[in-house]
Amino acid sequence: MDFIFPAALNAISYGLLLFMLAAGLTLVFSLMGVMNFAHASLYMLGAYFAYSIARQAGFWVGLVAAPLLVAGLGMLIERHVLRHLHARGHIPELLFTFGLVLVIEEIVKLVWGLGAVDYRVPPELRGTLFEAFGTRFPMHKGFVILVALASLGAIWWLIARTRTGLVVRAALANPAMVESLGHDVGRIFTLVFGLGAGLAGIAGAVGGAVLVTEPAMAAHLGTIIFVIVVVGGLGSIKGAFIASLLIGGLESVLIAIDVRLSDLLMPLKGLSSGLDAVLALKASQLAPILPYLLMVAVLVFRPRGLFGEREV
Amino acid sequence: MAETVPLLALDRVSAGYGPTRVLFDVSLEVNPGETVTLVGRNGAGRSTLVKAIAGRVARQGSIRLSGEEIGGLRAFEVARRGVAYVPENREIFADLTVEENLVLGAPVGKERGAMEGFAWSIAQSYALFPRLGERAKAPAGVLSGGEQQMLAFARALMGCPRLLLVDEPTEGLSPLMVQLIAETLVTLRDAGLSILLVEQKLDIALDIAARAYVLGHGSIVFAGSPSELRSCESIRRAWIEV
Ligand SMILES: Nc1ncnc2c1ncn2[C@@H]1O[C@H](COP(=O)(O)OP(=O)(O)OP(=O)(O)O)[C@@H](O)[C@H]1O
Ligand SMILES: [Mg+2]
Repeated sequence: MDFIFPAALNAISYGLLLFMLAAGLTLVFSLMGVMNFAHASLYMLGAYFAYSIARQAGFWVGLVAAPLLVAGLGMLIERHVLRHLHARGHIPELLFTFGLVLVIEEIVKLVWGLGAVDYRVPPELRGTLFEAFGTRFPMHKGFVILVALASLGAIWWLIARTRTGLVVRAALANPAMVESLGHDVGRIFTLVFGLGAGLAGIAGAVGGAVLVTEPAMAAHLGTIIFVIVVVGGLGSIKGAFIASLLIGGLESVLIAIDVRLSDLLMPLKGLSSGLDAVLALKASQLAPILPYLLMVAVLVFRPRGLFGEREV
Repeated sequence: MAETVPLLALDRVSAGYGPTRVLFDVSLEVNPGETVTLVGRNGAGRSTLVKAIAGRVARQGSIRLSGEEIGGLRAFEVARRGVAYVPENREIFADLTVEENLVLGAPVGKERGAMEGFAWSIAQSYALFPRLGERAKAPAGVLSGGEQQMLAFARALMGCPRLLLVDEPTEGLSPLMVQLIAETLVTLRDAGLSILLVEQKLDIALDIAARAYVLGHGSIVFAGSPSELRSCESIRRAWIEV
């Protein structure tokens, strides 16, 4: 069972990265009622911005500057496009964010090329953090955990402990009344959208370096994030947190155990050739589709997601 | 005597929801320090009128606050100019504590803008409504209806308003609570606050107010003193009593 410990750390590292994205998406969804399909595209921009800045000024400058750029871009999008579409209902907003996904992907391909770029963590993060149970836990995964906890902690503090956060929490419940108390709710929307975008930008600046930075990264993570918010329950931060760790955990554990399904399900062998083909799959090959299986399972048994208040 | 500029002056204001018109050419005034009541049947458009003043619904015509046009402003801009709103279903923030609800009512810094109204603080809220002080850290959602109404009043006052818009504050409350709310209104009136009060209970409304308007099918059908309205049975029959 010595795979459990490193797998758990992998799960936390990947799960927290996912939660950085899911949290921003959930916050924006709760406040504005719009599912931002382009959220993972902002993650991708965070990675590419950080890559370009890192080449000029080093990894650490990129880590700070790229999320700020992404946050700024998010605020511009909210202020100058989404806000105007909002008055026309949700469909135009959804279509716009959907179009944005395509536009950002094409721009990324034009500017940075079709393949993956060589964006990696700097040498000081390449070592081993510690060894336990015969496995080495790499430093960069610890770094992901640290950055995720720090940025999520900062957002939590802002929302739960500051006066601006109080206005945000009130606006989640009743924006019209908040406005009638003299608060510019439009500015709050822009701010929250910027926060969500900035969080995605941080996730990109970190995730791009430890995973991969390529034009397909947005589509790949976008679907996983979508699964997470659906499984967790639309609009529920708690649900998004648990679903992030769940999916991060599932993938990590499957990759870690890496057994053939046939070893687990021996008795079923030989029943049919189709089944045998499935059983010959390795667990790690199943990892990419597992989130979707989980989503289907959750939707069948609990249509509103684990912690959601409305059905999807 | 020099003519005073009314605190609030509506001139041929129309408003509605989407294509449906609810208000038709409504004109009314509230003078500084005056309490004015707006009565009428259910569905006459009283709430819509209050929302039009507060900037919550689209409206045409002129709305002036101390001579300044506020008819085109957004709700938060109207609030920052000193118009506070106690909405018909209270609209307190149920998940936040009593104290957080009050803090939200007090704009800070730049938000405060040109506000120069009725000075008010959390301590004064608790002095006026001791019950709120006792429940300061409780989620507002667990308060009774009457306590929630107190909170809606106190939260509105936190904005140091020049004008208080109050929509059906006694609706659904116990007789004891109704009396307490009525006394609160008298206290605020006597402290010099200007109030526009929508109130279903005619006796209470006419006891408190210095002047009354009757709204019928979205138009003003009567304007006068409470005693005039009391003695004018035909108006009451046609537009108020059910
Ligand atoms: N949000 C809304 N959308 C569409 N129509 C509305 C809306 N709110 C009110 N109305 C309509 O406007 C008319 C006036 O409503 P309003 O709330 O102003 O009445 P009211 O005099 O306050 O009466 P009450 O408080 O007893 O309902 C009603 O016919 C109502 O159906
Ligand atoms: Mg009403």
